[in-house]
Amino acid sequence: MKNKIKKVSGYVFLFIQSLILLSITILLVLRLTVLDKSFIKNELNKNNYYKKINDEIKTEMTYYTDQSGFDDSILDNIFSLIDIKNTTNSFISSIYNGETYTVNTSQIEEKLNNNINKYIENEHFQIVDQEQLNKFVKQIASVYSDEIKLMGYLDKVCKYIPKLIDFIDYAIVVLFALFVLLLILNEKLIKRRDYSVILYTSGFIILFIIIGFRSSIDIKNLLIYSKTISNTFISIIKYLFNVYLLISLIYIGVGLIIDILKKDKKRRHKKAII
Amino acid sequence: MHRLNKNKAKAIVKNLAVAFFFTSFFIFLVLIIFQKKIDKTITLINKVAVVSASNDKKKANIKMNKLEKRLIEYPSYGDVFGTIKIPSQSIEVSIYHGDALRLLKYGVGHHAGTYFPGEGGTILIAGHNTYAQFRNLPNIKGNDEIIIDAIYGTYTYKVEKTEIIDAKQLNESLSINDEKEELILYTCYPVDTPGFKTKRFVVYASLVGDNNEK
Repeated sequence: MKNKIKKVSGYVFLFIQSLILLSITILLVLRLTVLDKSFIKNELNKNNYYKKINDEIKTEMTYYTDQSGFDDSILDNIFSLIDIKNTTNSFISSIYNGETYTVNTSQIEEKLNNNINKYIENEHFQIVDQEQLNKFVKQIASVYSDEIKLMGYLDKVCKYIPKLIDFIDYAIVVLFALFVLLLILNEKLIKRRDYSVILYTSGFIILFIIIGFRSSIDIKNLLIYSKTISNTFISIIKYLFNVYLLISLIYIGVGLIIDILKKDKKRRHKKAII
Repeated sequence: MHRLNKNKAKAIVKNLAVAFFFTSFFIFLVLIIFQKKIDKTITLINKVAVVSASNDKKKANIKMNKLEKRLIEYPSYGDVFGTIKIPSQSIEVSIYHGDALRLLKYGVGHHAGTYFPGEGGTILIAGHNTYAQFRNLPNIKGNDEIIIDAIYGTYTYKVEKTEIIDAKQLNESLSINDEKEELILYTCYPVDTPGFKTKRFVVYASLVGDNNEK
């Protein structure tokens, strides 16, 4: 009876340890990827995001020049690729600092106003409504700001991001300590040393989650605000999937190695008798 | 040696079986507790998954069912389905199905959710005030003819009235009529001053003739 209880509690220990390892893995990967601003900046660089968003902003702006009576030349040199890169990076930094970011569009507005004045002078416009012009300039500036700030969708959540990062850091430490504590308890009290089961279980669960996500979500066709933003988002999701997939395979592989290298108990026992 | 390998294989299979049982048990628990939330989240995520029209391009059978006054198949969003002509103002421009700004760059846009020509309800078409589109629309007069040459038929309308409204009131001012075929065209106003236009010039026209034989 005592042996049976010991056996069952051994399996319960292994199951709990598997879940702890799974949680540590999931949190650690998130912490080192999407919750790390240098990873995001690196991904943006890798996906040529700055150039693509630059082109997208320019195209979006031309939709408004079409109805304005101006031609697209008024948009020349009102912002540069370096401006886009700097503004985007400042926006990302502010998200991870939990601050609401306001895009400073005063330079764009100033350059656009200059271009418009030159255009009006060259084209000899007879009637000019200053209010209409001001609204047009504001509209063009808001296209720039909205594209960089993803329409301000992150404004509401950014204040929680530093708290989330702190919480995850804390959770990883606590879970790791718990995992070690359970290992010691297992070694001292229960002596169920099938540690490969922990690795197999974590690996299988991660594998199952990834397969489940991939088969039920149409990832490659996700559309979030614009094509450039969607493609970058999809690329990050795919990267995460690949990392989790690799980790699950490593866990299963390491589990197999542990099992193979483990000394045969019965054989050792026989040898001892001889 | 052989015995050793056999024992090890047995141990591996046993451990894998235990892990498989643990995994199944975990998934079972998660599904029992969070099934509804998972389904809801997956549905929500898939709603923002848009299959590109080019992935699913096939020649649509866009013809008018005369009895039901409905198109048998509808044009895809972003496709050209005809030309609008206003001879008195020398306007002739392609009509795209959809009113996204990216489409209005190339032609006038038919608002998705309004009727198609020949279906017996309100047809709403928007265009820029450029010379290529509706720059001359404010010069239109009562009884002027507007022709829509669609890929499934030709429809002629007569101008009933025009008005200038605030852009913000557009949605409230333009109602969809299900009983009577009415063509509504609009463009940004004023057309002769540069800048952001806060008003819209609207033309209302009624159907005077149709020819579905195409």
